[in-house]
Amino acid sequence: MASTEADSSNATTANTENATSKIIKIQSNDGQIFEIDQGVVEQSSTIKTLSDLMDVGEVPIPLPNVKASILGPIVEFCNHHKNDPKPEPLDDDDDDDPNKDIYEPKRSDDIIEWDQNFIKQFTVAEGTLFDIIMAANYLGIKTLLAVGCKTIANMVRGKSSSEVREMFNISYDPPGEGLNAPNAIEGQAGTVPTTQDANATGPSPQPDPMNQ
Amino acid sequence: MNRPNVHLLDLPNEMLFNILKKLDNVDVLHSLFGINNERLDSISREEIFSYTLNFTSNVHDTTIIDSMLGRFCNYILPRIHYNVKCLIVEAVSMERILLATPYPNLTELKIFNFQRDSSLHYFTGN
Repeated sequence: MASTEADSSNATTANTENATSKIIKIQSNDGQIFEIDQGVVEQSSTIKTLSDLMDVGEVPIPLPNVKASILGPIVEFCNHHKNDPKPEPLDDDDDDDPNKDIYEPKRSDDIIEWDQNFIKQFTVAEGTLFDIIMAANYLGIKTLLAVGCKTIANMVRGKSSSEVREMFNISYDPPGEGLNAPNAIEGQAGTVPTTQDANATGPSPQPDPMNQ
Repeated sequence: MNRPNVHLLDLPNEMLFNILKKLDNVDVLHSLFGINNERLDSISREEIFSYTLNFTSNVHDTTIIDSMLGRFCNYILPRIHYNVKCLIVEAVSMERILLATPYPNLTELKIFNFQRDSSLHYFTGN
């Protein structure tokens, strides 16, 4: 009996080690191949799905939407985080939850130091910060996606619209086009009705002081 | 993702919403409302960013609130007032915010730092 239990334990350990040490290859759209282990695979729902579907063997999994200069750091990120405890699933659609504490400030200030230093290599000016966000979204790496989105949120927080426009080089819609068009109806934007409500009793909306 | 100098507006709306949901609604409106870019203006006018507006100092720095209030009361609130369902305000700025525009769909009003002696007259009419 004891030897059977020992054999079973050894077999389980061997299987675990094999799972962790299993190496697969991924390939960026510019041809560079990276080797990753199962701990990295588990963090990317896209790679996990592809590796489950494909009998990959020695054939690298192609990732046509990610270039090497982005994929390399992503592998580094996942290698750093592969021993993290598995986070509890987040319900991103809880904005309508009546029990949600609406006093709780929305958080973007909880990026750990390593991740803060990691994300600094990507910038708005070079466009690489958006590259990493889109790559994280494509690869289904929620932790990295959260870091990228929180980083941009932190850049926006407290800035006026003119500062945001300058920071992100956002195009200015010329007068007479889009929402600036003559006789543009405000209700066309989202579901906000016209402010020229016949029943409105408040003061008339004033022009934007930030754009005068 | 292969193009050089990828831009913020190259992100799909799903990603932009993901980013903006990390911000308080007042921050979203302060930074994007009236930015004079049709796409971002349209996103900032979505209902979800107007349902609940928190103007209190436990969420925003006091000096930032002071600088924001003028623009909110004169420009932003009158244009989104229809969507506002919940206001969270400080007692000192409550009157200014509530008188900025009607709020036909307001169902919740939360008042922080309510001082009975200085604020009671709002409720007694004295």
